[in-house]
Amino acid sequence: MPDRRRPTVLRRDILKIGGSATLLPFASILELAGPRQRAQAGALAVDFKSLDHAQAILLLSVARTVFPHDFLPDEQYTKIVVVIDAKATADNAVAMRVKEALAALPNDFTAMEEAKREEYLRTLEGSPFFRLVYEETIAGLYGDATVSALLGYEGSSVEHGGYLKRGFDDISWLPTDKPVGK
Amino acid sequence: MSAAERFALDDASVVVIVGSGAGGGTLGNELAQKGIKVVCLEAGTRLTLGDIHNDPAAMSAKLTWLDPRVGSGDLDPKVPARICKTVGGTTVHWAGAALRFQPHEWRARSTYGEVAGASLLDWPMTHEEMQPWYDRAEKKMGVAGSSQAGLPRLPGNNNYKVLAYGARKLGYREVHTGNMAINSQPYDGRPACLQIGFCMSGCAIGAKWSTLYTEVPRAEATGNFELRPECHAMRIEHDAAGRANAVVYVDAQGVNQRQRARIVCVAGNAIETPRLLLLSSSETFRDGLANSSGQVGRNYMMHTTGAAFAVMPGEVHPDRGTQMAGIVMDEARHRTDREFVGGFLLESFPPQGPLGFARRAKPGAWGRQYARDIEGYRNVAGLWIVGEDLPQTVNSVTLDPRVRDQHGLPVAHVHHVDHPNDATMRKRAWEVARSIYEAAGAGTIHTRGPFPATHNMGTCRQSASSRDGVCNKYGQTHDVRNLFIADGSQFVNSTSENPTLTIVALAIRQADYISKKMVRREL
Repeated sequence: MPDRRRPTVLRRDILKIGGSATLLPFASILELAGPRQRAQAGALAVDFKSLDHAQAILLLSVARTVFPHDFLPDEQYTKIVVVIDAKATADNAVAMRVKEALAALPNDFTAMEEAKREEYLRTLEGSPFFRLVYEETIAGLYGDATVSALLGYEGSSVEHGGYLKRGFDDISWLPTDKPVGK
Repeated sequence: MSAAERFALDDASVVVIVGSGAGGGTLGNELAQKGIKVVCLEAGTRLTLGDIHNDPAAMSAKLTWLDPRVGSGDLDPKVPARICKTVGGTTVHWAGAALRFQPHEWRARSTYGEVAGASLLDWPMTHEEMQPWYDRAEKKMGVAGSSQAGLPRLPGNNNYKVLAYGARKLGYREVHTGNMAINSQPYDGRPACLQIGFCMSGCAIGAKWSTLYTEVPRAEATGNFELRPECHAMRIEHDAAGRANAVVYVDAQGVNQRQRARIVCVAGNAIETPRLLLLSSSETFRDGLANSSGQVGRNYMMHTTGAAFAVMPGEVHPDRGTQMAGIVMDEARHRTDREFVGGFLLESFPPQGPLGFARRAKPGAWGRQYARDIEGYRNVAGLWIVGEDLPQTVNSVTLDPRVRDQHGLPVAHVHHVDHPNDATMRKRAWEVARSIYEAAGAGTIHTRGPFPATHNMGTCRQSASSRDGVCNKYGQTHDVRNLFIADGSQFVNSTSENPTLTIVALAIRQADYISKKMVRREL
């Protein structure tokens, strides 16, 4: 039942991103996170094999529009671009599909308001290109241990003795009254 | 455990059991305890507690039956259903819910009346008749909340508390942490639950009952039981008189073997059990073994399921603690004032990580609003709907005419479409789920349809008459008297309860029946 991750990322292709943030409280993460859309301003410090730099930046913008999390730096989304680049390198049909779809995006796509970008991508929803980006983004982001920890997933617990003494029933915001129904 | 005795392939005095899960593992131990020799063929590998990790993706890969299958109707074409392929079967994976059927559920046809399109029957036995076997099953498994085990119910986690608060606020009264085969206190040499979570990835400390570390090693300790893991049953053979006399299987080395048998019991889950009978067709049994009724593989049921996930106003940390931590039972009662027959349970169910939530809460959703929901992961509460799925002749397990597995055998083709009753019930269950979470203050609530689950039932059903079912009330097939069905395939209707407790109770009863018949030389 749980979804399987695809471990296809080549480590050497990935930027070093800070894994140290894993255990910080959520608020600190928000402070740490840089402004989104950094891709527009800066260069991606990755050598892509199939995509050129402009295509990579465009693809990053698409991935961020699909699952936008302001607290995540571009480096996190870059990992997804790296995976798609590797697929494009391995399969010419994928490369063509991705490059054609990127070329067909509006010229100012990365500069558009997020709502406009989302609106535009809705028109592509059924396309193979969109399905590819969607699939790689959902798996690449939420299957990533750092990201899922930032989102509050606490992972393996058996080595800590489970949650019996670590808050399995520590809910504090529910009213404590015993509601009596109709 | 003592070294398992090796029974010879040509030892025709053994009972051969296919499968080591709730049905096969229990039956094997019960027979072995009575001094009956058993060879248990299990397609999967044998894990130890040390192999069980809190990693749903990795454990799913280890536990799941990944051989190809074909699905149609409402089902995923490639993953139509889920079963486990491991020693212990689905008892390694199950969440532990151990609920008795309700009295009326043994008489579904009489209670619900004629329902167009449904192939309802009454069970060939009564509610009262089953109670002593349920008693024994609860005691064996250490069911928390049952008087038989004498264990109190488990404490409820946060996810349960949200469910319970909302449900009680709506006026529901049968709201509690369930009858669970998870130790609320040390029991039977196994430790108490530590609220680890990850129950469905296997319990790493053995607090949840599984045949992997209860029935199987105990059976081995008698010297009467031999487990053969990684042995995949391919065909059941019979003699000229039409009695089962051997099981052909492929062993761990890929070599075909033939184990002779006095009795054959099949417990491969309601997908693989009918497949094996259909694969065992012969000159005598052209439509498959024990299939004179044409009912082998028919009436496939999987429960009317669905889920709801709600983003609550505060933290829930839904992955902490037992995964099925609580239950609302009020809607499980059959009532005549609803638009559907039968009923449904609501059982708390965690999203199992942000990836699980992103994929499951609203499949295919994306964009800013959904990303916001995902950012609320800490606050997510979730539940699973388990309702009665009406039997329909058209819902079936058949041999796929095209796809073959790694052994060259046709794979199971699983077909299921909702009966209108299922769809109406699910809609009502979503409404109730929504109301419960709203009553507890939810923001966004996502409801969704079924995903592949391990609840598979009905494909070799019991019946009083050999015309409309495959086996009698002991699981003994009508056509081949030394061939038994020992898993959820026997079910006549799905009921609204999780199936395991009833499978175990039926297996204990079947062992009693078989041993008495053997003593009397009637088997």
